[in-house]
Amino acid sequence: MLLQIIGSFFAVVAFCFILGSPRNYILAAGIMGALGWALFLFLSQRGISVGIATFFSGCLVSLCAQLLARIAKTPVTIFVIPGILPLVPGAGMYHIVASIIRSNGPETSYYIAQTLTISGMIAVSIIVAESLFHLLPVKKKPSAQPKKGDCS
Amino acid sequence: MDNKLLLDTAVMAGELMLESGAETYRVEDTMRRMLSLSQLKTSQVFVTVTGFVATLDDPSIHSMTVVRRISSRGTNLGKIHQINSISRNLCSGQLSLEDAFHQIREIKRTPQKPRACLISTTVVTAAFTMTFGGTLWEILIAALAGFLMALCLYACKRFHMQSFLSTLLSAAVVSVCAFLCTRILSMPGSLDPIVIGSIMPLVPGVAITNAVFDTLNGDYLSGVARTMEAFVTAAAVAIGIGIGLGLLQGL
Repeated sequence: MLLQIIGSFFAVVAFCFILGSPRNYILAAGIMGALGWALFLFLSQRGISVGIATFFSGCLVSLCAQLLARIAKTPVTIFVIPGILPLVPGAGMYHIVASIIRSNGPETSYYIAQTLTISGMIAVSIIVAESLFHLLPVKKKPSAQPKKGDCS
Repeated sequence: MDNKLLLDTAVMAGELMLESGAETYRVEDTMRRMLSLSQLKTSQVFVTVTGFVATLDDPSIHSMTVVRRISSRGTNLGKIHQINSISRNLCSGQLSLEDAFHQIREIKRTPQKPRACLISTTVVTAAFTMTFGGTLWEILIAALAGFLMALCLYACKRFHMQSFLSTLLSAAVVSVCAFLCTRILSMPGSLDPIVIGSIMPLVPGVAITNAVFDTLNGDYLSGVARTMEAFVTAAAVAIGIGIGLGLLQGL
């Protein structure tokens, strides 16, 4: 399990290089991705369903991402996109195809439902984190938004 | 303030952000903030996934409108970050318009490094196979598959192939490579973790994330477009694996 978490750290870090992330945020993104995957593994081992496990680890990743983005004053996606990647249902997509090739109907529909659930849960977890952070008061810089009616 | 230069700067920033895969609402917001620096009566921006319109108008000037069509879209988070901070500095007055224009043009001219992409794709596939519990042999085979996939992606880019086709071909390369190594050359290891780990660079994680952010910020048009993109990419990956495995198993 430790090996898997280390693997997810390196995967996220290397993926940051593909995405051309800013150098100084790569380490943070990697740690975040590894944390998310660790939570996912922990919850799945406790016998919690894949969908719920994805939801909670997605929440952890996107909350961390929102926090980091506020601190670094940078778009949230810079942390969310690499951090959420280990949770994206690549395995589900593969199992759908593999079961179609074996012409195993029930297995195919099971994996289609599972893949859709996981992607939906990722979406919901991002929504939850974003909505929570929208409740926080935002410090407005007076010069950042010039008033429209100012010109005479 | 030089309105023409301001419009040019905003248009170039928007173009680069859209090409780098920024969310639509963010592009719109950045451009609107930049254009509102002109203090003119009308400064409007309308952005979609594939292009945008920006206009500046005032009783004192002839109105200026720019339309841009964005044809190539990839993901480059570094560019999004750089333009975001330039626009922040410009709007807070820390950066003059001329400097901002030159800095953005500098970002536009920076070329991408294909070799770095090749190495990191290899590392990504190997590391993801490790993430999904692969053995040492499986990790090595996945690294090979990732290397071949990166070469295939690079070749497709050189020939300006459609993204659907290039994703499909890359997924097929992965599955053929994994199948050949495990079943025909009978290296130790099973097929599943290799293929799952190796397709991870192709899965539509970026599209899913951007779809959610666009939808949440009320840009439903782009949200639907990006959801569609996610499904199409997923379909391309699935068909690619299917072609590779189906063909080889039929032999």
